[in-house]
Amino acid sequence: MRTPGTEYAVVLSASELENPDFGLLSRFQAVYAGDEFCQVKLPSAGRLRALRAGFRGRIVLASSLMTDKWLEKFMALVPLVRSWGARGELVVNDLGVLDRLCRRGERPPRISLGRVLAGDLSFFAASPGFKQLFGRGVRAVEIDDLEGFRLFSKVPGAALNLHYPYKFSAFSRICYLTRKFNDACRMPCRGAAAAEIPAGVLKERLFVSGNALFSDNSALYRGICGLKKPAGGAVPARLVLNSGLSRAAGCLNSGL
Amino acid sequence: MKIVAGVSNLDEARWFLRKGADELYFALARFRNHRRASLSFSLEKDADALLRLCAGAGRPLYLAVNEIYPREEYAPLSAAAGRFVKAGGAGLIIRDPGLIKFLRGGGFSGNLVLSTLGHCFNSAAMEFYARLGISRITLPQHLLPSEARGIVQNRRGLETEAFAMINGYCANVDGSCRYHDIESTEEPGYLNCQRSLPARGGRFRLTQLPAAELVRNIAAFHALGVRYFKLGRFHDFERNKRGMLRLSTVRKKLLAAGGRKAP
Repeated sequence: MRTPGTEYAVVLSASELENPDFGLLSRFQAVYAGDEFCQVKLPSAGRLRALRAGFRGRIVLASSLMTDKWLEKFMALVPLVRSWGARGELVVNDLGVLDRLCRRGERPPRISLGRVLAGDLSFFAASPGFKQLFGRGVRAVEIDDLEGFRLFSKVPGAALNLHYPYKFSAFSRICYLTRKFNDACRMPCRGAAAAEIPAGVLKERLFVSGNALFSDNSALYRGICGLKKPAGGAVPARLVLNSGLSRAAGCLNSGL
Repeated sequence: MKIVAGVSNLDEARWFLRKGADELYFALARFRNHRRASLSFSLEKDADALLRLCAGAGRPLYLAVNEIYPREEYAPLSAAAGRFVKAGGAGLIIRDPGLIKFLRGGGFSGNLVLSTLGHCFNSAAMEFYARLGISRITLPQHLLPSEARGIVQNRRGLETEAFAMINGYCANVDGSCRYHDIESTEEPGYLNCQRSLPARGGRFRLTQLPAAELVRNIAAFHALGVRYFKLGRFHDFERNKRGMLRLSTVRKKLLAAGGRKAP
């Protein structure tokens, strides 16, 4: 079940990126590689090239808050993404990264404000002042809750990319899995199923994945589509399925 | 090494000044800030008294306006900030880039300390905030001393500040945590992040760094050149007191060991 006018994307886990199933990927118009919450999950140029070789759609390189070391690694990947033209895109969650991209002489690739940065800036990101500082390149905002949808759907020209069926609740640089700072690890979280904390003590069911906590937002998409005139008529430009590749592909067949 | 303490009322301020805090900060309940309203001053007369108290002790006082505000709140915030500095306040603790630009554009002359919520995790972010007019950067709690060199030893002349964290540590990245809002169904008021929760296949608890590691980080930040160490506002003042006493002890040891001397 697809909504007309909405692009469908899938978030690849680190293990899915290592061995991409291009057959399943071909059902999507865009694919997210990297991670909005963990800098260690930044893919290598080799992995991105391999993905490019087998996937014709848009590749979105997602990035998190970054220390100096990882920022340089990320910036080294930017020319590669730029070389893909409209088929390359960046999700940026770090203000330093955004500033560097927007101040460089070359036109940056298409940029989407990540959920951390969009939350950090909230009213400011939705204001004309933001455009003055960062206007070049920022074309979209990643959202996963109704508050974000309402705030950013009022911003002229900003496409909204809605993550489904999980929204992030919190993240730490001390990985919940390794109990260590996420500066370097072999990503033991890759391929690991998210641990579930059932509702009970807390009011919401939570999912623990690597260094981030998520909750269920599956009702949100239906809620937004069910609005008669959703916040000025906006619909999500992109639905970003973050439940794993095979489940996401199943969603496309069976409906959300 | 200077100790900065957050205060929620005049009694706390008097205690911290008596115990050697070099600088205090507070928030006004009428302007949203990143801590619960009960940790803010609700009466203007108390805020005025705090200002007089700090002026009498010769200690700088900062006002925390550390949220992102709608554009229509900039003017009243700016007016209040101007009055505060005119009355002797040292400046603001702030995170909103739009408000920083607005204040500097309007000729605000006080110091602007970037809140830890500004997520200044790298030198590029530091450069951005420096251009906007920030005079001191508070490092994120989740940045290690080994990762902070480029920010601390910057060529801009920006001062840096680190949370001492021995009176409390955010297990998640502060400012991007919706976890507190997921209220517990039992024991309201108990912090979610201190709970051990039943999870499929075991129990789940957020990681708190060991106290010894937190103290080591203070020494490492100090050796790197961080000059200010902050004790955040917490609802448990007894815990804050213990944090201040421990930090004072750490300071004495560092100075005795020949570390950087407090000017």
